[in-house]
Amino acid sequence: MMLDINMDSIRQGFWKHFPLAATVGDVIALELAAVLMSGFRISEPHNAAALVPLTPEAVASAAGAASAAVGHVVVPEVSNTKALGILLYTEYLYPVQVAAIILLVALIAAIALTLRARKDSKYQNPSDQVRVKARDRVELIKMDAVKPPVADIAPDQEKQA
Amino acid sequence: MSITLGHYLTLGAILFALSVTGIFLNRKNLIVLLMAIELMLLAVNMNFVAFSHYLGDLDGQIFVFFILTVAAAESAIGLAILVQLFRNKSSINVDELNTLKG
Repeated sequence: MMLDINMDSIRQGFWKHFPLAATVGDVIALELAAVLMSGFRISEPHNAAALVPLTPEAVASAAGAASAAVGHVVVPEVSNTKALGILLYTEYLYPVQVAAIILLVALIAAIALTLRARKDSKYQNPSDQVRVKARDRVELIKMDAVKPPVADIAPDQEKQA
Repeated sequence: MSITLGHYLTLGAILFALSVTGIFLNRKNLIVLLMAIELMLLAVNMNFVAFSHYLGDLDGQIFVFFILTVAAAESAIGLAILVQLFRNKSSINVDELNTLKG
């Protein structure tokens, strides 16, 4: 198997946890069924167009009716996808930007959490390369143009030379 | 027999119950827990789209986009944390993650 998961160890506690899991799952399913079967009453629609399945005319009429009150964008006869896109980039433009920021943060966080530099790899640091200065590379030393006279050199140094 | 709102809601309820069962059933693998949580979010999305279509209001479908966005961010960071966990403990077994136990 690609993921190299040991299935036997995964299935180890299956029957131990199965009663609790089945009970909780059944409770959830029964609750939802009870809500759907008995208690679920859709409130009376404000206008007749709201209950009509989504058609271009319904979209146009709903948007037209809403635009008078809330200032929604009037959507002419378009497909569902186009209506979604128009709504997404006009009325929900700011939330879309926030969602983009959330995705960017998640991207950077995931990379920052998992990125691990290899210790044995040799690489250039562009930041250091850009910020380097000429005086860090070449050092100018003040010195005489000619050799000093022989007399100035100490006798022991002369011996070693 | 046409597909009505109740069918979609039932499908969403079945998905949700399945994911809750999966969380309680699987006490071993952290990846399966993350997948069960994602399934839960998708069940909610199903309800959103069904009601949005039923009411002829597009706002529900817009909301699904944002739920998907947050789910993507959550799973990305969750998997990154999982990778770090595996590097530190060499295991993603839920039973062995007891260092925060009081």
